[in-house]
Amino acid sequence: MISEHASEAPVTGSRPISAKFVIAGGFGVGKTTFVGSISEIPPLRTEAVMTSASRGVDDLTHVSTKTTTTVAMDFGRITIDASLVLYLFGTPGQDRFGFMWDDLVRGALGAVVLVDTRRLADCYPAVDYFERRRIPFVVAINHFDGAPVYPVEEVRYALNVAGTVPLVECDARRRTSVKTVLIGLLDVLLAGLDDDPPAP
Amino acid sequence: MTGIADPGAGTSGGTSPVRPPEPALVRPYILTGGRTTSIGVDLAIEALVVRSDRPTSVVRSVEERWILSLCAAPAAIAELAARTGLPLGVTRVLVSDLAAHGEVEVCSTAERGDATLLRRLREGVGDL
Repeated sequence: MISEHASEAPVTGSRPISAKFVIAGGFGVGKTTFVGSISEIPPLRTEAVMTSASRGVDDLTHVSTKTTTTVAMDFGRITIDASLVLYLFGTPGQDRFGFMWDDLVRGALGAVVLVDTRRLADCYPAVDYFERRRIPFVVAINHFDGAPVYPVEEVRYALNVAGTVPLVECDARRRTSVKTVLIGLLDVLLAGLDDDPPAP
Repeated sequence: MTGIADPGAGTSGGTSPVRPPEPALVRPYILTGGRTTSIGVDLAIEALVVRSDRPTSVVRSVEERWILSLCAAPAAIAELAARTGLPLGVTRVLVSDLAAHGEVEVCSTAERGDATLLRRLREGVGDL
């Protein structure tokens, strides 16, 4: 079976393989901090130029305007061993989803949705996105000084995520906390091995 | 974050006249002929790229040589983009071209549902 991600060049047994998790959530929720706490390299930033075409509303002439946006993604790396590398990609800070994310998320094994209890709704689009595409994810409530602390089950109720989605508290600044979240995600993936595959 | 070392060089040879610096975005897209997608499969941003061992006699652009210098050890396409400052789409096209000419190998990415791989990840992250 040819993976859609396979390179066109032959891959020898000695070549490493890479995997990807996506770290999502609203602007300023701590995605880059999360990545940086566990990455073996300081987070890098890559930019992608996105072009979107839109047609005017009162459009008798069918004129379309294209807007070009540059989105930036911060990411980090964890080398598991000589033949396996795990990358953590933070979603762009812009509040837009859909096609801009598809390219970034394609092939991701799973995702972490970071939540700020002061701006809970900021993460709704991310939760919707992963649920719709049936990409396994965990929710991590990031700690912010002065932010209200709600019982986890109240946050779960507000987010309306399935009971099977792990919801944990986390401090994105702390490596041990980030590690716990990633292990939680890996446990979800391992538990889901017998489930239906994600939607295309 | 342009980092393009020598906009006056590239494929035109070593004796081109000095030109004013070009916008960092324009030159890469000229380099790729305006292409922002690879011919064929779109390479995953996390796909590792490794330089082939065989020496090349082909004249390569500054950007391609830069990419080659950065992937003696495996580096993801996103890493190459980040370290060169080239846009992700441009980097993909350049890597794809280099791969088509055997200058680099693009490695596979993990498949969902791969139990062995997930266990390796679980163990590896657990050991951090």
